Amino acid sequence: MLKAVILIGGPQKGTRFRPLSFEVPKPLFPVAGVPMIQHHIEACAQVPGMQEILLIGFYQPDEPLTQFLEAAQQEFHLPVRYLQEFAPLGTGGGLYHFRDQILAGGPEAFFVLNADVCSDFPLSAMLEAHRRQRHPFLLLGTTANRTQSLNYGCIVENPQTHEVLHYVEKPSTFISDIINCGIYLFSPEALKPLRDVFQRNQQDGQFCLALGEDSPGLWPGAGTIRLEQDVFSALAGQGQIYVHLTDGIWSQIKSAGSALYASRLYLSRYQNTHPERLAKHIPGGPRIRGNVYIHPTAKVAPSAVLGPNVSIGKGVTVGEGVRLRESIVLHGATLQEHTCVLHSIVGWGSTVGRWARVEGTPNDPNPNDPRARMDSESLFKDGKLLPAITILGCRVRIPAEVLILNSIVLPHKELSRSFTNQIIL
Amino acid sequence: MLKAVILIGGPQKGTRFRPLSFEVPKPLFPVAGVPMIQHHIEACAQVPGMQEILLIGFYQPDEPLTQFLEAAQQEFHLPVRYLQEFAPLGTGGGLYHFRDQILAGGPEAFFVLNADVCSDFPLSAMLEAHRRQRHPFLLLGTTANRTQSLNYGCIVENPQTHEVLHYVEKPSTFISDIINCGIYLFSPEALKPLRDVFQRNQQDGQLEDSPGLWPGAGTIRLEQDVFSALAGQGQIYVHLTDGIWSQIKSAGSALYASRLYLSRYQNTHPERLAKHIPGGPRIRGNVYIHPTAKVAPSAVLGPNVSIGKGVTVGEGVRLRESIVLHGATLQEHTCVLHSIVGWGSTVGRWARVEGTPNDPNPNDPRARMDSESLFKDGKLLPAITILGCRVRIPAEVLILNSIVLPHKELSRSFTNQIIL
Repeated sequence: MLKAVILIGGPQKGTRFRPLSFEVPKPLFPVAGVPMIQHHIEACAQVPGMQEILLIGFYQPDEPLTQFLEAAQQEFHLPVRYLQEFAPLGTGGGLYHFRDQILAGGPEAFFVLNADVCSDFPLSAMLEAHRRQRHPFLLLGTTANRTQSLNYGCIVENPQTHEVLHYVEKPSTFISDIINCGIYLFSPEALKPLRDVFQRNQQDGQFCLALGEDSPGLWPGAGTIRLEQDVFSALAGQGQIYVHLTDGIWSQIKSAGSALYASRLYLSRYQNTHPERLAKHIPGGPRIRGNVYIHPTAKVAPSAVLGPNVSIGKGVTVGEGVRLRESIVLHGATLQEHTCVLHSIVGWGSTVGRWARVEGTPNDPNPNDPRARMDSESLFKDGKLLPAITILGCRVRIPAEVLILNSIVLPHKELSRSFTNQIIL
Repeated sequence: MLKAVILIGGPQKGTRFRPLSFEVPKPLFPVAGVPMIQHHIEACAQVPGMQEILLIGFYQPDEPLTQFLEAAQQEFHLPVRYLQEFAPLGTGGGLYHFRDQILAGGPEAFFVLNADVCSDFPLSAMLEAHRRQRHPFLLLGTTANRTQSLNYGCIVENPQTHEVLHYVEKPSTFISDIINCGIYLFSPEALKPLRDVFQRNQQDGQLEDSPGLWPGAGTIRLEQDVFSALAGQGQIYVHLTDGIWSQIKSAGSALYASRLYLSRYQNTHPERLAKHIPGGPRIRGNVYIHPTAKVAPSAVLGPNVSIGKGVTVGEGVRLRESIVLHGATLQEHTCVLHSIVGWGSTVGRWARVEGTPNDPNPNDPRARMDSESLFKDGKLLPAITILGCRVRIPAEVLILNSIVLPHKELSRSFTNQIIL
């Protein structure tokens, strides 16, 4: 019997996903037409013997989250429970805190998945590797090129045994081109090292309080466990942590730009896994190029041309003569006639006026390098806003005939002119 | 009998005031220690014969607004009512829509004040000018230098009669160095031209369905539809002032307005200015400290500092040219300059939070705030540092010329960035 735990974080995290995370918790943001973590749950549900899926995080269980849980349970015929941390406990603290719930029923092992990754989730391959040689921790690893690896958790492995010899999170110089995917398979024995870390961090936390140090972010608070630093780095080379390499699709989803890239990866995968989700050209319907997802309730005019890599959400209206490419249109938005939307995310309920052009600049990894990953995605460099995906927050109104280029527009804003390379608060 | 109308706008306006306007409606943002429109109400309450103050806007009447209205009525012994527009009606549409409420009781005239201006409100002088020669519209005007005037509504006047001959809102080339303060005195006859504009805009509105470029049906833009259209027809006059005046469109101009009001307190409200007392912090220049704030004795405050309710200022803090909003905490030895620290935020020990002021040239009495865009050529212009609500700045870092959105917990230094 197996279980899966999805770490969904909380509102104090994921602030790089603003302004999109103002409206919906980041784990529920739609990627390729379905909420981000639905891809995780679908993959878990296909592993034979999967008994239960637990979501651990710090969000208040508001309506979008509750509705999602109910829908997921019905669709996948699996219990899907949300365990809310009493305080932010770090990437590993929730696992330790809810160990009773995780180990209830005596699972042989449990997957641990970060919510903000996009992957083809080779869970069965990981399970086989684990069953061949059971260890407490099995990490899924993939490759990155030398410069980009510095943005990720780097793994030095023994090429024969696949033991993790060293682990460094975001190193300052090159360590290894194998990076941590944020997808793990732990056996119940993993809880013991977690307990040791927990107790040590509790002592350190109390020591810091005694010193009068009250500095969040530099020292782990009492009861928190950072998987990467406190467990993987500390236990590497001691025969407890192993890595399983994959060359399937993988990307981290930290910002809106990477959500668009992840959308493209998932949409291309739909050709094999969910062909019914990809739109086809039908007589009287819009022209479709490449991979496009259109929600059944969306209204798209026949003269529109969509794709490649387009997701259209619930109740969206796409007018005559619209060109939509490499973009996500969130539900309730309206693209009026003859607009051109490229490399952008159009927020919930927004309106783009006639003949307006909404355009961003993609920062996608080099498609010719299979090991290329998203770069570290800061918005600014030397005080200048780097060209990136254009994001319109919820209920933004773009007037007719303007250009919105490489800009981020915060919710409820009504623009009156063109903007390039700006954040419009 | 007189009345006053304060136009407070709505949430779809004032977005340049973000991230500060996420937490509180802009008209209630504290400037020099009290809500922005309290300065307006105080000035109106001092005009003999003032009967009632009406606030017109599009905000939902939420708790901060309702509490403010009750407090204002008690303090000034005047009815203060909020009339909520059913839809955003433009700078003049609310006046026309609520004309019955404004004209009830037959006022001789009524002041109209924009909420987002800082002024010494020379209302009695305007009233005298109006009584000498009654006209439908009297605008308060002040002077700006040639380049900056382009950011404002420009008035060309007849220097003898003070009639407004031309009015252009934000012209593209220099028209006049007299600018519109957003403070008016209208007589009841002003409603007639408003009605003509309303009916004309209703017809136009039905032809075109594009928001933002054409006024929607029922909206009236005072500046374009009334002042520009009626200039030179003997209906609109201007009264010039050289008192303090500034527009409050962004957080940076709120800080500048705070300085203007704080300096004015020396004459009007000396009890609001903090003085150095033994065992208390050192005070330089004009400083407002809310009675419930806790300030350590080794802190040095000012000039131009406002400290809100329940704020904690630790030992050895240097605070200058800044606003600290209520519930915020400045830990020991921090240095906060040219910044606004948001509600409930925490600044860690030895951190330096610093902005760059864009104040008008103090040597030029006619200098005004420049048009305050955040970006130029894709680069973020150095400006006041703003920490939104409940932002946590760790110890020993530098936050320079940056805007931090609410609830963000930073982990390192940032310069010249907007941190979403």
